[in-house]
Amino acid sequence: MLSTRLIKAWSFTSRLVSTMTNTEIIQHRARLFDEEKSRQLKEIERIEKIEVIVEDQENKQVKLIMNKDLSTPFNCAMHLSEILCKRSALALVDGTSLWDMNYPLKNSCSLKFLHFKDEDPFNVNLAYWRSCSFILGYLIETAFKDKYFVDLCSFPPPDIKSGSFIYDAKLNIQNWKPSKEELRCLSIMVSKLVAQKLQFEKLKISPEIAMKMFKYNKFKLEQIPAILSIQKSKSESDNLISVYKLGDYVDISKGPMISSTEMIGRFEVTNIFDIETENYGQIQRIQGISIPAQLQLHYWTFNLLAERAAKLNSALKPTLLNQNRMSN
Amino acid sequence: MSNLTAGKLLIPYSRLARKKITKFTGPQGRIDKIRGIISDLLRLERIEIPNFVGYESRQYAERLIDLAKKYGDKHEGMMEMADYWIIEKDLIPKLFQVIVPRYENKLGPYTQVFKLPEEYPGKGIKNICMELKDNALPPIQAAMSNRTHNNSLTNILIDAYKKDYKFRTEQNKFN
Repeated sequence: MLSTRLIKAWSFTSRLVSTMTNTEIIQHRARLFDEEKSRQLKEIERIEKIEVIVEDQENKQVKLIMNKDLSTPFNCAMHLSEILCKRSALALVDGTSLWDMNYPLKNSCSLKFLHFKDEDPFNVNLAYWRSCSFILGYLIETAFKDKYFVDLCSFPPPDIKSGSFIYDAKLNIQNWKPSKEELRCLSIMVSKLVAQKLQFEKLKISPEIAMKMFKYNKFKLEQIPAILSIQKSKSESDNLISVYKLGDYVDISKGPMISSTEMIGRFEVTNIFDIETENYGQIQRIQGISIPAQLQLHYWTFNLLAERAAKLNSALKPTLLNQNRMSN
Repeated sequence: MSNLTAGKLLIPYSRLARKKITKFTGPQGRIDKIRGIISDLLRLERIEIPNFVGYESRQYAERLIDLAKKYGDKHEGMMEMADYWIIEKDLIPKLFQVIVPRYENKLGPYTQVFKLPEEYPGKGIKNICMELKDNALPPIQAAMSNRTHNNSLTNILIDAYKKDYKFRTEQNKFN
């Protein structure tokens, strides 16, 4: 059933792509996101209370009474201390499942906040790497304004040991090899994002709305049915797609992500390569490296790491058949 | 024969660091402070003090024990020295009868120092814990946590860079 809809949408977009600009597409997605979010909020008719047991920075347990489907782990941190609000990137619910800091809690539970200087910050590191890929997508789509039309494709699951994070996209610029100054211009855009202190918002939407939201992006339209089939094979109960928003920019991702752009320290876009793929033809691979503000590094060491990040990352190329990549 | 004179233990220490102690009380005040700390250290064997006084008086304590080992308690200049630097006089026999035999077969520093965390919220004073080695108190190392930072994001990146660099250099050798 979805595939027939897909074909309809596909024929519809091929007419429109040439007329739409990048900014119009961004606004279209942001508008649908806001409408869906306000609709979901209206569904809550009566505010119910839940009990949340939170572990604060001195490992003492505090009992808080919060609102169901409204209050987030970030709100819980606001009751305790400023340090927890600033540093905690993720929350651990009931000691098992990871939770976004800005996603409302569903049931009464116990909470623990995670940050970059924990004893084992494995999950926080992955979330940071993933959100940096997400920000690369934001940069590519906004940096060229309306001059060059950009088709965003996808990003692979985070791999820190490879030394760089990636976003694959089709830039539609012929024979462009970016100079150092052009890359630096892209990196400077991130420092503006950091100053704005934008929060990552998460929302779960139905596939129909997702198709409507990404109807101008031919790659994402193909990916949505594939993501759904993977979720079915993994027997996840809800048939929904999770979407993240940063400022006006919206993208598909399974998550979890860090809480806000304030946590980003140094960020550098290191290189852009041309790669050949089976399904999408020739597309571009954008690479970068970053370090959270909580961790410090000497600039000499950072430059060495940036040199390594400027080499071609051999991560999986985007294909529709590759399940690992799609479930990211 | 005695080239030891009380009040003159020659310790090299930077003038800027000394200024911190002499700021309000002058040179005599500084010496009084150090004498107090040496007496405290000999009596309690483990003390907690701000680092700018601690590091300086540590050197005086080391030198005093060194000289006591060298000359013993039947040396006129040495006794004068001990009388000057130790304020509480009941500690002078302890220096020669307890502490000197303890370090008889040992070289090198007789004290050790541990940095303490800054108090928050506080005035930002950095404290240290100073102790005589081989004391009878429960050891500090057992209470210290032995956590590592191998899993932090920056260290993972640096380790991966090192591996990559080794791999590249070995490849160049064969070529």
